[in-house]
Amino acid sequence: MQKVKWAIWGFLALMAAAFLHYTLPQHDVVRITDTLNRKTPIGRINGFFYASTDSGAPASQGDPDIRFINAVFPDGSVMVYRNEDTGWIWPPYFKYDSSNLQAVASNFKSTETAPQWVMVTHYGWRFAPMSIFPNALRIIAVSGPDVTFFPWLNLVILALLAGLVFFARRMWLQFWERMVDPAVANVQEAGDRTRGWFSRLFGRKS
Amino acid sequence: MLQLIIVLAVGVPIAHWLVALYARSVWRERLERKWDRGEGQGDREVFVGDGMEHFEKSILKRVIGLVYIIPVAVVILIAYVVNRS
Repeated sequence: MQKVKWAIWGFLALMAAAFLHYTLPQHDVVRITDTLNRKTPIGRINGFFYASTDSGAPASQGDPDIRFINAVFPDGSVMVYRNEDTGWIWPPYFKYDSSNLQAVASNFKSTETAPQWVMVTHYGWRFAPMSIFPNALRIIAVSGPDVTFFPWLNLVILALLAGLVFFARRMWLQFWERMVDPAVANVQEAGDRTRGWFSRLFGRKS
Repeated sequence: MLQLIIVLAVGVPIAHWLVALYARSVWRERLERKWDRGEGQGDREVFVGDGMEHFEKSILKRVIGLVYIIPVAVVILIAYVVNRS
């Protein structure tokens, strides 16, 4: 039983970690090779990993036309970002400038001989078997391929989330201590009284 | 955007209500403990009741009002940072 409990908690922790890893922003230093948009059929399997239509546009008919940014890492491996508005609910980036971002990305296009390195802030994963792409949020020029970025923002967000969880737990414990326990005690007392009444009725001392 | 407004309009008052409930509960518990330690005068109910009236005028109650302001401010801040070029 104890093992099952730990397995469930482990699974939940793993899901939470994966969820946060998907949702929180990450930074890549890459060189942009191409920007394009293409009609992209989205199925039931990967639909969850795409955003809604552009925040100002009505729901589209047929396959959405999605903007993509092709990029190369300094080590030569490639990455493809999608560039979509996030809408207003989840993930909570409230991004509505994907057209502008595509213009920025196009402006940074460069060749291998004259590279322009950029830092792409994005969330999400690239998972080719399911045609899932990370969503680019922000692109800025950097001086070279060796630039690194300390994820201080993620630390702040994680700290705030941990604080929120701790606070919610405090609230829950307070509620339990002040509302539920006394109520349970009352019911038990009432139960004792009832038992006493019954035992008097049937002439048995409890 | 309408979705976000609906979520905030429903969620924020609920969050505020929960936090205020918690703060009142902690405040009351502290008063009861204080009286039980013999630091309060008079009747227990009256002592706690008076203390709870102080809560309604306290700085803490105003700070809890930030529950209304912070989410909206965070949304505006994130939208600005993400979309500035």
